[in-house]
Amino acid sequence: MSRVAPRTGRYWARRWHRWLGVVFVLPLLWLTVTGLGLRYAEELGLEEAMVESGWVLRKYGMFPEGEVRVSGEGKGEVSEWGEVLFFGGRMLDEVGELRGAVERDGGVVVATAEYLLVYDAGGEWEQKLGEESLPGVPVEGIGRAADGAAVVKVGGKGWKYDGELIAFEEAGGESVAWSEVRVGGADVEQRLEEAIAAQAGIPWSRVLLDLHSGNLGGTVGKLLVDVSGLGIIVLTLMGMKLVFRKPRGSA
Amino acid sequence: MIRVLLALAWMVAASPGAQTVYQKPSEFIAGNFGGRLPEARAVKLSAAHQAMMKRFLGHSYQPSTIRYWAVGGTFVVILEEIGKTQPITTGFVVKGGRIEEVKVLIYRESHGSEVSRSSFTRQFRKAGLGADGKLDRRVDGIAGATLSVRALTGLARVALYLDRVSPK
Repeated sequence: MSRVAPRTGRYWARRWHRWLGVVFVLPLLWLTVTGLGLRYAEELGLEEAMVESGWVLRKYGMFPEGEVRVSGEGKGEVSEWGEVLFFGGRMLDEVGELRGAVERDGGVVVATAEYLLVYDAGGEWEQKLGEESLPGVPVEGIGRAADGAAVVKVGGKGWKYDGELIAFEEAGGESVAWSEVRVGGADVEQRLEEAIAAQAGIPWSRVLLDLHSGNLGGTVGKLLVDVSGLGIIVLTLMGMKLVFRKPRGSA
Repeated sequence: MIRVLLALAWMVAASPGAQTVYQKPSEFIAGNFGGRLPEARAVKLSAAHQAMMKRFLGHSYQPSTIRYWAVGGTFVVILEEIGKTQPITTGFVVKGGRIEEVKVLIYRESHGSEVSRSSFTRQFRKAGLGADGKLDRRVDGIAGATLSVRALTGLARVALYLDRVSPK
């Protein structure tokens, strides 16, 4: 008949150490791999490689909220998503509520509630007309007169600009083709997501840093990293205690 | 690095942020022309002009056409430059090749609004553009507003340059 060994402190320490080791093996691996990745980020090209994953960019809040609104057609199409403006397949520097867009010399005049933004055929930002260069704000719409001149609607009235967009006068009874702003479909949203991904400029090293610190997982992620850190400290102390414990029977 | 800064700038720009309007640009302009807003003029920045902009600001100026108002030797221009993440809209008055007035009109950054204080902007008065492309007067910085100070100093150089090259 075998005798059951007494369950000493050493027994429980070993047992706890084993289970804590099992529990924390994945977090430890996580911290080690991301830490090494960060240490060699430059050599691995992670400073230069930009994130294009929609999922990751969404986690970073790079995609605006709300519906996508579109104005204009073809090359002159301008979109707005959460006040972020897009033209020619790219995000524009300016933000604002889209009120319409009309073509001008192959480029486009974008009307937001506060500004008129002028882009040339190559997508180069040419002019910004603020309230000092407008008949008033907010701008309610934009259209084109029969002779092609840009007309803005302010206070319910149309104001016609000259070719250089310097001077304006009341359009009066002139016929104006007003630009419409419509809600864009899923295809437009997909294109805008791609445009944001191309310009977002978040390097993978940043993602790795946020994985390492737990920032990417929000409060839960940070808590997990904290618990993992504490767990690893406890494991280390327990391990040290087990290794350097005095042998049984010694004085 | 620039792409990262642009992305961060965009993220902040995309979110609704606070902006302080100290004075409407139209009021600033009219205030320098006896309460009347004169007709605007525009200068399109050539490659040579943009090379100078890069010297003053570290990058080319966008948009590439700048509006200005000039009557009887008074040159007024409204310029924008990003401090940290947001553009600072600033009005400049130049007379006889020297700065007459600098006024921050719209400030959108969360920090550094001290540059809008007259005690700071007064330092630009009577400053001209030296042969080396720098201001010929010393402008003391403000602790905690380094980027905004840098933006305004760069814009002051741009305004003085535009006064020189813009047709009157």
